[in-house]
Amino acid sequence: MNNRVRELRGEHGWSQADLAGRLDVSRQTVNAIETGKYDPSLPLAFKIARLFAQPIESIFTPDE
Amino acid sequence: MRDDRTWLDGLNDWLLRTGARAFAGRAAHAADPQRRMTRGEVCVLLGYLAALLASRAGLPCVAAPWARALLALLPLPPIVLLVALAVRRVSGMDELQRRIELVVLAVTAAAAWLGFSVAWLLAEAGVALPSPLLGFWGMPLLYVFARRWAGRRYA
Repeated sequence: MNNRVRELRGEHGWSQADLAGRLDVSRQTVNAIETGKYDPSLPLAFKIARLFAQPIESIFTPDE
Repeated sequence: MRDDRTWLDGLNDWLLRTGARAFAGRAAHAADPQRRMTRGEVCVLLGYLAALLASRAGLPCVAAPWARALLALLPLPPIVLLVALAVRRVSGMDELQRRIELVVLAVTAAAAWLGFSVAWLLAEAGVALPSPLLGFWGMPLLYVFARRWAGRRYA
């Protein structure tokens, strides 16, 4: 799964810790999502989409 | 049914209060995933070691079977409490930390099962076995190695 979390976080000027705090997860989780080592659960993916005010499919896209 | 619920609620409240005091809560775990053991877990672990020593020291002095059984099982309550606290800690983690912890527990359990199976098969064949203490110390070591492996895999 590819995602634009790092790009969107950068646009908001947030650090990984800032984003982790807003999502109520650890910084390690944010890092793992951004590097593609971990695909978030559906509730967390929706939380991310809501936070960035974007549709979920514009943030997360399946591997071709 | 009602009594069961009350008893379970009481246990849950106690775990919550213990968790709140000793573990600094769910947020702390999310903010500090590197924290391995809580103060409460360390206390229970020390209690377990004390119970183990007391059990070992007391067994040669007791002859009655019921008393020997009681002494032999003395370390069991701290183990049960430790498991309950570990479950509480894992359930308070965020989803990635929980996943890592469950993978680590699965790897440790599978390896321990394999080790005990090998030991049992060798024992059935009459082959000399290493001390059971190897398993006692091997499992925590295995947990530590599995934890590092899983941490690196997702970090």
